[in-house]
Amino acid sequence: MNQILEMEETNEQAIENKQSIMINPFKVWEKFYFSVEDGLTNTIRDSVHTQDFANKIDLILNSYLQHLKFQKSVVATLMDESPFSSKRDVARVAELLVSLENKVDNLENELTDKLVEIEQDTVLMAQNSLPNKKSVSREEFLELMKPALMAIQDIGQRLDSLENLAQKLDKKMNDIQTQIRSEGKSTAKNSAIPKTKKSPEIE
Amino acid sequence: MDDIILRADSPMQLGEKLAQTQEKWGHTTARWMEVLLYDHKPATGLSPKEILWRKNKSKLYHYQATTERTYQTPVLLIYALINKSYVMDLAPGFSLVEHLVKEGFDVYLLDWGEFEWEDRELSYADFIYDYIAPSVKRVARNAQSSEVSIIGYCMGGTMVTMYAALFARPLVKNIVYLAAPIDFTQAGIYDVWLKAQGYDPDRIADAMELIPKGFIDWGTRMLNPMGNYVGTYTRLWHTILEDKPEYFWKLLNKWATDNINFPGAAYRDWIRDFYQSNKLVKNQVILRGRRVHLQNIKANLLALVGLRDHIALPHQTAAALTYLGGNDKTYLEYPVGHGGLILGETAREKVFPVVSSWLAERSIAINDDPADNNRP
Repeated sequence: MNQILEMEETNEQAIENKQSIMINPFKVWEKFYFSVEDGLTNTIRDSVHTQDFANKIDLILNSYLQHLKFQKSVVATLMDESPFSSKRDVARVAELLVSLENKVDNLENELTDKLVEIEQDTVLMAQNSLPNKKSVSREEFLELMKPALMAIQDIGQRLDSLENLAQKLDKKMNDIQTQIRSEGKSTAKNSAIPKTKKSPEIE
Repeated sequence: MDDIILRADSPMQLGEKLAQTQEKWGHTTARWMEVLLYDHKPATGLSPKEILWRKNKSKLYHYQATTERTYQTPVLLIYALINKSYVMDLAPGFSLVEHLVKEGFDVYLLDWGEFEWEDRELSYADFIYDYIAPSVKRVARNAQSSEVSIIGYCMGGTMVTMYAALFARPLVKNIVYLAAPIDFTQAGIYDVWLKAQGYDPDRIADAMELIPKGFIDWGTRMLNPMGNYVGTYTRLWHTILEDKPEYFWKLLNKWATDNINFPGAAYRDWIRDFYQSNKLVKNQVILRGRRVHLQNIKANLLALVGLRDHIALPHQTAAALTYLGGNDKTYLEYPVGHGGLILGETAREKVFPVVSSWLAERSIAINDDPADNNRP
């Protein structure tokens, strides 16, 4: 109502000023649309936040899940008889790789823990072996610690070689993963070409 | 009212003005379609970093210092399993990671990667024991610190809670929750949907195995269907019409729609044990035979919530103050939604400074004398 009154007022002012005026249809549409959208947003949001909606959507979801499970079991049966590797087969190889990675990771972790322990023990040993001396020179300390430092150095070298090994293994696993993926893709593309042998890397 | 009425000195000029409006609308609509169909997504996760450790698809990032490091206590960020890691490092000027690095913290982030079919059996026990625990250990070792601070965003905060309750070493000195649900009673709309009689997480996990990202995305969008499926795009159109920058819309849209697959086993745990049974606050969560006791957590706690958050409601995060042990607890609210705590002006101007200053007060500062800094 206010808007109509305002429009009439504007119209009168324009006539007085000898101006031409008209309603901008674009702006009218814009304002109309966004006010409708706000209303719809609230209405739809309220309607989906109900138990009734949840129950109905669950019905659809459960029917879909039933269909999905059936579809998967059919595909699994077909793939069992097929000469191609299935998604599950590829995943199984990936799982093996991840588990191998875990083993290397645990090994590295244990070794690092041991290294830290040895370092701490060495410091303790050094402190205990010098009960009466208030301070020692750097040279004396290094001489005393020589066997322990050599042991640490040795472990450090072993750790480095283990890291190198882990990196090589990691690279190898990446290569295998890439190959599996590319093989998976090419299998999907060239499904007409029968494959009799798995790639030598996987075997 | 004035913008609805066109004024001119002559009918001819009036027609010209109308034609101009029509032309602007045409250009706006063309640009709108261009943004939606062809424009590249904005670059995210740009803070310089190195990979400290990797496992499966996960990576532990160590961010490179841009200023002198001020604090010995490292900060590890952990986010939800359904997001990508850039949510914590969105864009220069709008990144929590960038802010913390600039403030002199040694910052780390555990990137979950993108889960695939072989990860469908990963459960929360796996994530806590095999991913978070080794990451925290490596962070402490790398930073040569016996204690760490952890920031958990959304589900990441829930996971941090489980970790902190189970692992005493390295010491979790500070925990920051950003919209992290701890108590799952009265979880808003999720209460209605996820506790409905026909909603069975076991059946979903069993049939889907790896929950597709589209399903997760649908669930989030359906919280406000009109707003998320239509409103967000008309908002873009309006932004272009008013000659405002599109960048933030693109950034927000990328963040909101770029989900990842969810391992089925973890999904089952999340819905059944947390939303349906609320086991966390009842101390009933058992991971690999060990019970998660929230009172075991003695860390200093900062809980930040968005008042308009409909994914993790404020009281769900505030519950941490009641259930966790420890004496130093702070709770702050901001007038934002779920993403507003890490994205946007409020995040940059208010949330990030609060997080860094709170952490600064509770972190060991680096002294000139290296003997004062403890090794793990």
